[in-house]
Amino acid sequence: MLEVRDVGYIYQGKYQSIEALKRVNCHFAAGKFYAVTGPSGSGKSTLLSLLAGLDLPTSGEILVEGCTMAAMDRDKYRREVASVVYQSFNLFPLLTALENVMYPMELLHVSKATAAETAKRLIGEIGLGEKTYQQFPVMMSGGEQQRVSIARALAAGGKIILADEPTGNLDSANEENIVKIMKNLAHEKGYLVIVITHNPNVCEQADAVYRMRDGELRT
Amino acid sequence: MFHFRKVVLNISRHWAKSLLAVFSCMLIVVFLFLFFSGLLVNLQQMEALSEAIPIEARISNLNGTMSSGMIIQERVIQALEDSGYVTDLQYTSEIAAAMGEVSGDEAAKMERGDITFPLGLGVNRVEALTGASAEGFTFAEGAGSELLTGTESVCVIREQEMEELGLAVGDSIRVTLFSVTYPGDNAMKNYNRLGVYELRIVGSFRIPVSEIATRAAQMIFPVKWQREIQKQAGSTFFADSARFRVAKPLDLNSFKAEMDEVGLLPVISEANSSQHGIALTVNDETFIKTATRLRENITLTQILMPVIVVIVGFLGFVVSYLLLQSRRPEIAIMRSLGVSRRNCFGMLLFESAILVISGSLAGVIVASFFVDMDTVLGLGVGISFFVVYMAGTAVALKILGKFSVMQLLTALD
Repeated sequence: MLEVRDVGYIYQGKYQSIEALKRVNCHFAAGKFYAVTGPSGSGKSTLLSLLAGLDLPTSGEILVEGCTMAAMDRDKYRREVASVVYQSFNLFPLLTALENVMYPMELLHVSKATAAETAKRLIGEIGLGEKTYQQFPVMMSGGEQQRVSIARALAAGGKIILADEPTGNLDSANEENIVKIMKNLAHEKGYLVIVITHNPNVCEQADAVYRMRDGELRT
Repeated sequence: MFHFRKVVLNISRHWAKSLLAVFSCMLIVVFLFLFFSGLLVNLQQMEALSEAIPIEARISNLNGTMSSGMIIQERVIQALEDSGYVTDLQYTSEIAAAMGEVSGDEAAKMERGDITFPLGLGVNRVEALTGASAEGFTFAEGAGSELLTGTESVCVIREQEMEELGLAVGDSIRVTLFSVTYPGDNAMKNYNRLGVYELRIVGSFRIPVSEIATRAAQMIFPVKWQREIQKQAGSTFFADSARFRVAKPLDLNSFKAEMDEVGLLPVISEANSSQHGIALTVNDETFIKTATRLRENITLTQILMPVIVVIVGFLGFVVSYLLLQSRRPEIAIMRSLGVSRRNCFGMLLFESAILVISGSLAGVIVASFFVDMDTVLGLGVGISFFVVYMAGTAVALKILGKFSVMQLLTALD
């Protein structure tokens, strides 16, 4: 589903350039749960951002179902195909949980009523109750926010979930729940789930683990 | 529709910042109204200045001591009549009149000045008679002061003489007229017999004692008629006084240049006294002082205008930058969810536009308490402010939008 070919990425700073990725090659298939791990600064998050189409590789290419990302409308790709779950949740602070989940659907011109109905269903599926609908992110716990963030990722209907340290800010009980949700999405609903993590427990449960070091990828 | 809903939602949820933006716009708009209404008032005052402070001018002798009893060439009078810069021209011409037919020795005596004449005066309008007012004139039924502007053989006689001579309005009289000249450069007069004329009395006049000048006229005629008869008699016409108003006070310099071409000189107070009306006295001090002050105000305001435009644009930039800076993460999240850069920019610009328009309207309402609101001023200031302020906002958004979504979202983690 996703193929990374000789991908390199250089951060162009004001005073210096940093080579974050060096000729990375890997392949991700639908219906599987992948973990990408490695020490801080090894290039994990950069790889995830490139997979999310937030930027293009400095060298090499990323293929989505055989099409190079460079030739795609990457905004549309993020709206319809790939969704990102962040460590710090990145929910809109002034939107309620329900509105946050509805947002990607409304972007796809789904009617407000349908979007609200779907959002409520998704919030229920990830284990949150009705009381969270009208809560603003600041009123929710970290685990609740991360669940809402996952519900938002599912809302658009894309089949790729990219998660950057989704359990990083959670306690162990919440961590287990989130991993379980991710695994289910991959194995039961056919999503491609890629998780960036430092957590060995998450890696243990993954179908495949990629280890990164100094911008290079090792299986 | 989705974007519009989100914009409205953003405005309401960011209510404190929205209020701040509206309030800052309102203050700027009020200031702009005060500034531009000041300019408008100055421009209106400048336009009304000609009426408020009319510039009066008169022909005088070179040292400026005489305003009547002078020799003013006919070509000067003609030039004043033809000039587009002269309005309300009032001039008189002395003419001596003796009742009945005078000839032979008596006429010679008169010409030598051995006999004192009743003073006649040719006038081009009632107001030309010093000390007279329209209320002091009584005209025959069906007649009016306009008769004095024509060329008919008519006259208006002072009430005192009418009584003494037993005359009545409507009577016809025969008079012998003598033109008045000054042969030397002094006040000595010479009289030249023009002929005997029959005149119809069309009115009488009365001049209050307090207003009686040293040369109080006893009989007045239409000066145009006088010019005609002098021409027919081969006598040179001179006016003895002339005063008028400057028609276009804002073109004062052009007026003075034209008067210079006519041959009228500025008054030289050190010059010797003479009977020749060759100088121009213009009472323009107050006008010039006021006009200069207004012009300075207008010029200063006009110089400041581009500065104000830059300041408004800069304020649009600074206020928008400061208010939207903290919303960079929000923009990054929108981008990560697939909202295009253009849509993000458009939504924030639209949001700002709604706040700016609200602020402008509030500013117009507040300003209307302080200034006379005019539709043109209101629209002009409102639209100009909106365009300039939004230009500053657009620049701020352009700069704020220049960041890597990837780096920002990674940094957030």
